[in-house]
Amino acid sequence: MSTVKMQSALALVLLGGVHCAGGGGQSSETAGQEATGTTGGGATGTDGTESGETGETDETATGETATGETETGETGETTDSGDVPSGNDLNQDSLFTCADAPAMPPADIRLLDSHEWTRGVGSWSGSNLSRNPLYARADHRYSSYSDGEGLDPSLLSLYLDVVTDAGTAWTRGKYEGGRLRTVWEDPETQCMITETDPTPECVVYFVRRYLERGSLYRPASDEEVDALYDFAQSRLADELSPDDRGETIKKIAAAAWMSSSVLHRREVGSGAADEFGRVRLSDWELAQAITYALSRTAPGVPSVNRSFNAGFSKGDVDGDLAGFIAAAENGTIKDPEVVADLIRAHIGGTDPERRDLVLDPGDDRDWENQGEFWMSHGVRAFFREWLDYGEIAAQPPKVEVADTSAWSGFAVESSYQNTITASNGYENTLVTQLDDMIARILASDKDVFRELMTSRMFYTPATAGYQEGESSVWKSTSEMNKVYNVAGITDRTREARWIELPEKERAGVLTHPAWLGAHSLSFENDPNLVHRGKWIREELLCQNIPDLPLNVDAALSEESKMHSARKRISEQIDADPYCAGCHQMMNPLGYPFEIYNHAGFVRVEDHGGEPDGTSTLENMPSPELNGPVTDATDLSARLGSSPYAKRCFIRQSFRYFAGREETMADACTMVALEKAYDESGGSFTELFIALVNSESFQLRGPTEPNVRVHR
Amino acid sequence: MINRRNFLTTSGLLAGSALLSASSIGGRSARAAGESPRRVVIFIEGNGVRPECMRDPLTLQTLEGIAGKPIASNRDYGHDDPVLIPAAPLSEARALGALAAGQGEISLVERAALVLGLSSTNLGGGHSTNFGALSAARALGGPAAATIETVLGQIPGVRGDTPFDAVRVGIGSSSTPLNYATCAFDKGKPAPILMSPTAAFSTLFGSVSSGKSGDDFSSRRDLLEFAYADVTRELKNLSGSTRGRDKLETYEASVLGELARMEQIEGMKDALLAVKPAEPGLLDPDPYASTAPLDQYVLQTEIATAALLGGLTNVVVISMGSGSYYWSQQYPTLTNFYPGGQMIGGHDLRHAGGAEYYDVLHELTSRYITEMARMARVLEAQPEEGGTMLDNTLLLYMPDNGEKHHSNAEEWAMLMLGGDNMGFKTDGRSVTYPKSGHANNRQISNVFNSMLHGAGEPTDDFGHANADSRIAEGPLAEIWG
Repeated sequence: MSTVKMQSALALVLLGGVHCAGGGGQSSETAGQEATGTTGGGATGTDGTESGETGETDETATGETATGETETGETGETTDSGDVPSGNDLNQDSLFTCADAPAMPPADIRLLDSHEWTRGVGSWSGSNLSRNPLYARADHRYSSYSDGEGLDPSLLSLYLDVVTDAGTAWTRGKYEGGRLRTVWEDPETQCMITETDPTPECVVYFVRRYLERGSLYRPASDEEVDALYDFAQSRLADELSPDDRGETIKKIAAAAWMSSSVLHRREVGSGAADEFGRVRLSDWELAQAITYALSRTAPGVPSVNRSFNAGFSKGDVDGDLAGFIAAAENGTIKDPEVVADLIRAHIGGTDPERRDLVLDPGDDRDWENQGEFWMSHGVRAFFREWLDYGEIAAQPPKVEVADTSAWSGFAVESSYQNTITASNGYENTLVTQLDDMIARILASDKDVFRELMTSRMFYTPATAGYQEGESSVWKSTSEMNKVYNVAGITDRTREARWIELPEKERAGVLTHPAWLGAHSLSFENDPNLVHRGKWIREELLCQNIPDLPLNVDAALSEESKMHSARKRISEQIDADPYCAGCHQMMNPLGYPFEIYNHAGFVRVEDHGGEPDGTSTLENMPSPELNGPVTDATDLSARLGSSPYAKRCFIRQSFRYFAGREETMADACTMVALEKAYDESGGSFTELFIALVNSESFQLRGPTEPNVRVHR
Repeated sequence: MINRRNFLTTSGLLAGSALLSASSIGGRSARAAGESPRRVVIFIEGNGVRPECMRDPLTLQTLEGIAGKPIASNRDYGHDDPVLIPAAPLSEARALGALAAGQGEISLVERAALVLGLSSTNLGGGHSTNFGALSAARALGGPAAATIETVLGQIPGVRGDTPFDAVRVGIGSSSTPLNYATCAFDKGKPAPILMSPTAAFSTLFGSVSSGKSGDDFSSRRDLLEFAYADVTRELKNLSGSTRGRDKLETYEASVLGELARMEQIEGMKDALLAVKPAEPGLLDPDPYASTAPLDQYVLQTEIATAALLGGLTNVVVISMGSGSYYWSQQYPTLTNFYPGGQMIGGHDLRHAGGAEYYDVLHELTSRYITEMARMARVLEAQPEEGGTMLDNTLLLYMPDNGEKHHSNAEEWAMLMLGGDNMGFKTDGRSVTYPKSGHANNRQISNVFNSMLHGAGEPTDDFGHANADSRIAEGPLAEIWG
C-alpha cells in the first residue's frame, strides 16, 4: 500500500476486519450511542459534575444516508469553520453543473518530491540518490498534492545527507555510466571540467548551465547566477588540486540544490489580474506545471546514459521535453493548440524499444519483456495511485495463494510470489503487467473509462524457457501465468503474452490480479470483499464512508475461520443492522469479487460450494448502478457504462494532475473536462489537454481557501 | 520574520527541531544552576498493548478478588477507587520479566510503576489514534495540537543546553524513512520520526562519524550559509502566496536551526565521541544491515541512549510501529512464537490470526520492554546531580491506541521507570484505576499532566480539544507528587 493510501486507511473503516459488536461485548445499541457521540458507560467527571463524555468532535459517523450524500451538496461530514468542502465531500451532480463561478486555484510553491528530485539531478529509480527523503506526505490522497508540504528541520537534516551527491552526474567521465548529454555534448562546459584555472567566463557559463539545465530548469536570473558564481569561485579557491575538480563541481551542485527556488517550483502567477483578481501562471510556471503533471519532471530534464547497454534516456543535449522549453521561451505555451500538440507527442503511444523505461528498475532484459505500449510517467503514476496497485509488494503477504483455485503446488505458490517481487527470471511483476494493460487502452484512446472497466486483453507473463529442465529457477517461474488462470506454457513474445481472457473470468482493471491483490489481506476468506467494496465506493464513486465508530470491535469470529468469506460476512455483518448501516455501502460492491481469492486467482470452489459473485446493488448514487449483478465482470460492465462512475474518474484525473482536491469553484472546469472527453469519443489525451488548458490549471486566485482534504 | 541575527541572539540555547513558530524561539533560558536535569523518554507501541501481558499475578488476583470474577478486560473491573498495590511482583508479568535482576544487573522492579485502567476514549481507538496518543486530543485529518514531547522539549528546565529539543526515532512498516503519524510540532504540523537507524545515527552523530559522512558534515556549513542567503532573497521576491511564504519561512527556520545546532554540536565533539554508538558500515556483520524490526529497534534504542548520555537531548520518543499502519510488521526473530513456526503478515498476526497469536504479541511487548530496561540500567549507572541519570529521567512505556488491535481506547496499560527526582512514585507499585465509564476512571491526559508537573511546567489541562471529554484535570496523585 502506498504511503498515501496507507494513511487514508488509518482512520477509516475496516481495513483490518469487520466484526462490529460481538467481539467487544458491547451491544449494538450501545455502540450506536457511542458512534453518535455519547459514551455508553455514561462517564461522569470526578469533580461531581456530569460530563456526559462526548468524545472529541466530528463523531457523526451514523448520520449519513445510504448513499452518503445529503440534499445540500455535501456528504454528511461536518466541516470545520473556515474550511472549503472539497473532494468526496462534494455532491457530484452539483459539481458537474457550471454556474459560471470562477475557478480559484490557490497560489502556491511546490516542494519537489522524491522522484522529481531524482530525475532532476540526472539519476534514476533504484540509485542511491533515489533514496532521498523528499517523500510525499502520507495524509495526501495523491503524491502530487502540495498543501502543507515544506522542508521541516528533520527533513532538512536527512536531505543534507544526500544533497552533497546531487551533482554526481555532472562529474561522470565522458565514457562512464550515468553521464549526461547535457554535459558531454556541450563543448562550452568542458573548460570547467578540464582546465586547472577556469576563466570567469567559463565559470559563469558553467554555473548558468547548471542552473538552467541541471537544477532550476528555467532561465536563471542574474541574481541567481551571481550567487552561485560567488560560491563556485570560493570552492575553486579552496581546491587543493585540479584532481579535486569533481568534488568541487559536486559542492557547487549541492549549493544549487539547497536553493529554495530549486527545491520548490512556483505556481503563483504574474501579470495583470482579471476581474476576479486572478493572475495567469507565467510561461515558465505553466510549462513546468504541465511537464510535471505529464512526466513528473521538468522540461529539459537531462538525457542520461545509465549504462552502456541501456543507452541514453529520451532527450538531446537540451534534455527531454525540450518542446516545452521552446514554447515557454517564445510564449506559445499560452496557445492551447501548441499545448495540445506537445501533449499528444509526449503522453504515450507505441514503442517496441520502450525507451521510457531506461531509468526504471531492471535492465533491457526486463524492458523488452514488457508490452509495446507506453504511457508518460505522470500518467502511469496517476493510474498506479488511483487504482492503488503500485505498492502491492508492500501489502500483507498472501498465504496459500492458490487456495480454492484450479491450481496448487509449490511451483504455483512460488511463481505467484515471483510475480510480486520479480526476484527470479526476467518476466515482470503484476504491477507492470497492469501498467501494460492500461497503456494499451490509452494507446487506443477510445472510450477509455469503459475500456478500463471491461477490457479482457491482459498482458500475462511468459513461462516458456522457465520450465523444469529449462531453468534453474523453474520452481518460482514455471507457473507465473496461473494467477491469470492461463493453462499451458506462454511463449516469450509480446504477441503470446497478450491474451484475451474468458468473458466470465475477467473484465477490466478491477479483475486484474494486481488490483485484486492490492486490495486484500493474507487469507482467501479474509474480509477482502470489504476492502474491494470500500475502494469502489470511495475511489470509483467518489463517496465517503464514515469512520469506524468508537467501541466497534471489528473482527470476524474465530469460529468461522473454516467458512467462506461470503458466509462469514453475510452472517456476522450484514445480518447486524448496526454494522450494515455502513457496510451496505461497501459489501454489496465487494461480493462480486468473491469469484476470485485474495491473490486474484479465479476460484473453482469456495469452501465446498460454488464460487458466488452475486450481489444486489441498492441505493446507489445513480439509478443506472442499481440492480442485481452476477459477478465482478458484470459489475465492471455496469460501472464502465455508468455516467456517474465516469464522472468520478474525471474527478480523480483532475485531482492527480492539478495536484489538489477539487472544490465547487472548479465546477465549470469539470463540465469542460466531461465535454472534452465525451466529444472525443472518450479520449484520455483530450481529457488531459482540456485540464491543462483550463482556468483551474492555469489561473491562480487572490485568496487561498483552507481546503480540507478528507481521507 | 526570523532572521539569523535575532535568531542567534535571542534564542539563547540555539535552535532545535521544533522551531516552526516565532513563539517558540524567544525567551528561552537554560536550566537554573544546581537544578537537577529533567528528562523524559517515551516508548510508544503501535496497535495496542494487551493489558494481560502487563498485569502481575498479585495485581490480577487483587482485581479479580474485588470484581468477584475473572478479569478478561477492563470492563470486568469492579473497583470504585484506584487500587494501589505497593510492592507488586511486577517482573512476574508476562512482558515485564526484564525488570528482574539479571546476572550482574540491578533489579528495576523497585524503580518501576505499573499503571492500569487509564482510558482515552475521546481519541477514538481503532488501529491507532495517531497523533492523539501523545497529544491527548483526537486527531482528525492531522494533529490537533502539539504532542507531549514537543511541549516538554520547550520547557527550559527540560531542554537545558541540549541542541535537540526532542529526538524521535522508531521502527515500523514503511518504505520511507520518516513516520509522520504520531508526533506533532503543533496543530496541523506533523513531526517526523526517523525510521532508519542509519538516518538516526547520521542525524545525531554525523559530526563525529568517520570517513565521508564526517567530511560531508563539516561541509554543510557552506551549504547552509548559501541556502540562508538564497531563501532570504526568495522571501523578498515572493508575493501573492501565503502558502508559498509559509513554506519558505519553514525552510528558512530549518536552515537557521541547522546552522545553530551545528555550531553547538561542534563544541560537543569530545562528549559525543565518548558515547558514540556503533557506526553504520564499520562492523562485520553490520547490525545496520538487518531489516528485522527487533534488530532495528535495538539499534534505535542504543542511539537514543547515546543521545541522552552525550547531552544531545533530554526528550526522546521511540516508536514501535505507532501511527497509521506502521505496526503491520513481521517479526522473523520471533518465528518460534508463531503457531506452527509459520510467520504471517503483520495485519493477520494482530487481527485475523486471533487468540492463538497473542503470545507473539506478548513476546513482542516483552522484547520492547527489555530494551527499555536496558536503557534504564545504563542511565542508572551514570551518576549525576541528584543521584543517577535514571533518577532524573522518566521512562514511560505506552500504547498508541489502547488495549488491542481494534481498540476501544478503554485501557492504556503503562509502565514507568525512574524519574524519582521529578516526583514520580516509581517504587514497585501497581495502580489500577476504575474502568472506563466510571466516575473515578482517569485518562492518559492525567499522565501527561503529571509529566508536565514533574518537568517544572505545572499543567492541569493538557489535551482534550473538546473539553467535555475530560474526566478530571490535574496530575495523578497515585503516581506523582
